[in-house]
Amino acid sequence: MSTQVTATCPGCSCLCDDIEVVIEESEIREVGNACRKGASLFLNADHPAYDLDAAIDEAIEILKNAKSPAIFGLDNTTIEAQRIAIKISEKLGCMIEDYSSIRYGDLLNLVVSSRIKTCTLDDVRDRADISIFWGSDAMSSQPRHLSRFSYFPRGEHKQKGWEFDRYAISIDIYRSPTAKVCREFLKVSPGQDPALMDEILGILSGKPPGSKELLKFSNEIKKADFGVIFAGSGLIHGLNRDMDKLIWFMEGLNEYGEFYLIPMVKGYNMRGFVEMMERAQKRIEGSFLRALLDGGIDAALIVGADPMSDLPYSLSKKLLDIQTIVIDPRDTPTTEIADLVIHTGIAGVDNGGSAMRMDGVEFELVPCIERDTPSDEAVLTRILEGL
Amino acid sequence: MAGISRLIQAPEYEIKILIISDIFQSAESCRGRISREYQDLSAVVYLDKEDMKAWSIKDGMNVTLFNENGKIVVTGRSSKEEHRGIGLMPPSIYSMRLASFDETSGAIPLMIEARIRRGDGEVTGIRELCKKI
Amino acid sequence: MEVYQLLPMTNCKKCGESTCMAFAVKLIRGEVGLEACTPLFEEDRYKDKLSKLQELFETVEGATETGLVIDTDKCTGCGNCVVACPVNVANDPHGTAVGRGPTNDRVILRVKDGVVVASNVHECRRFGKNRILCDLCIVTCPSGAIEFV
Repeated sequence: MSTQVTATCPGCSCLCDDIEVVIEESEIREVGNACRKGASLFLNADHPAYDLDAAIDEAIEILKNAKSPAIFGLDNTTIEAQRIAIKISEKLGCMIEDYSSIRYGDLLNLVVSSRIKTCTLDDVRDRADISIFWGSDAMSSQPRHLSRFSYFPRGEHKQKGWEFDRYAISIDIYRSPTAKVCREFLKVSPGQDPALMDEILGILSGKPPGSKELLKFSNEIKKADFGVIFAGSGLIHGLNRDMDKLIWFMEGLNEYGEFYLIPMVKGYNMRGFVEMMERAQKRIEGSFLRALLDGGIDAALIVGADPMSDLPYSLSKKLLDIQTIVIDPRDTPTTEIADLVIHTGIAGVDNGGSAMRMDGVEFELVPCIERDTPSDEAVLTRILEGL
Repeated sequence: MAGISRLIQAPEYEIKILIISDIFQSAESCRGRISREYQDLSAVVYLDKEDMKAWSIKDGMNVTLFNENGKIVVTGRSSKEEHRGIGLMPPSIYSMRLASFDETSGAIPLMIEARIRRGDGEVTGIRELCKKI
Repeated sequence: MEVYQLLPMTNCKKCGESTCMAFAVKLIRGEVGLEACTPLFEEDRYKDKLSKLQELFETVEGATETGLVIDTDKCTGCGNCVVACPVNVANDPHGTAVGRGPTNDRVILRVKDGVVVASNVHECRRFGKNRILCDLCIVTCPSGAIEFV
């Protein structure tokens, strides 16, 4: 006997909520509408059994005995789990950090505090005339972004769709898959993004354009009432993390129409963590990596992250010297070296919770199947209680 | 004698490694990041076709990438795009072996300076990269 | 010509055609299958020719009657083709047209288990009496996973 449920996918920060899951005998048999990555998540949810009580006790011991612990990761877990993690950091008086500052500098803080104008992806689908992918390869990181929101779909005020009603441009170092499907591709040399911003605003204010492509792009900007920059880590690098330049550019564009920015964050709930920290009145200082490098951390509680794969070796090798507790559904290089691994489930697949899409819209993830694997929230709650 | 053995080694060339997203590797990573399948999609560098001709590297040949941070052996594959002097790698423990941490900015780099040469044996295993040197 | 030269070139008529050239033409048009040429499969001397012919027509085997071929190894499940297909838009205005999953069975393209699958291909605008050279599913694909042979 098979049943079908509609699920929300935690594969990326798009949080697609139209996933049709077919379940037979408590197993997921078929996944409809999810991209290659989302389908892989739903079809491969399987975890070995282990002694959870012993693991939790050991985690509490490690954290109690540590002189300078830290909590790291958190972009791929639920809001509920993030809240508990923040409470643990308050209890221990220790550092808590995600990747938002590492990958995007100050951008997330600026967006969340409305210093840079932002909008929702639904606004984009219904109103955006021009989509600018700057240093972001959406087709490779958030595959359904262009088909659900930013280029191909019809929208309330975009009834004629992408062929007549929308313009999309990719600005990047190389011709990525996103560049291939956008109307235009503008190749930018490494570090030349500020100069390009100068040139664009210059052309808009009447200076002669340096190329046909730039003239065309400027005309599209002038025509547009509603435009969005989808900012990836490539843009942050290209600007050498100078957010003042980006703020200046956004203000400049806004003289020609309504221009917004949405950060194309890596991690299905990075936006959630940044907002949680903002509400708890904490700043993400970007100091975990420096502390790790300087030997200032002796125990790390890593939640839903794989720093052995994400960080340069000069940093990741420091994890081998300290006590590490890893709470994660997968087997990764980080679980390989960890002192303690607690395998948890995946929100939206075999457990639940809420998460924020890249544009701040909150979604509820409900489990499709039942498993014994605990949620990150449940594990962290038990650790907090034991401290 | 030492001088002659250096000459026998394959020639080295400068290369910039650009770290790019790869949906196929991402999809595989949902199944775990220790498997052979994940290794096959991560221990790889996509090279410009003209560069491959100039460097005598054939599609599917093992190549060594190295710099002051470390050395890895990965599979060289021909890229469908043109990007002379640049090799594309997905984010993984492999590409991160070559990366430096910028202490001033606190950032992980997206572009890494390295050198490339043919050969040097088998592709580096993931578990080997998890060990302390 | 290439196909003809890979056939036995004996005009034995076992396939029902008068010449190997006639058989080659029908083979290319997809009007007849390779297995109709029994000598190719029965006689050892044609082994190399047979494997080359099978390689040539490999992709066609995966094609639907109307020649739509999806390379699932290349497909990322992005849904660009699903949302861009004008027939999908016309037949599913509240689903694929606005970027969501299909709300009915009258769509041509949909994503299942992470890759695109085709159905109702006879509705595709490339076929039938008033056919046009629509290529929207091809130009919107980031990885070249859709082809019409």
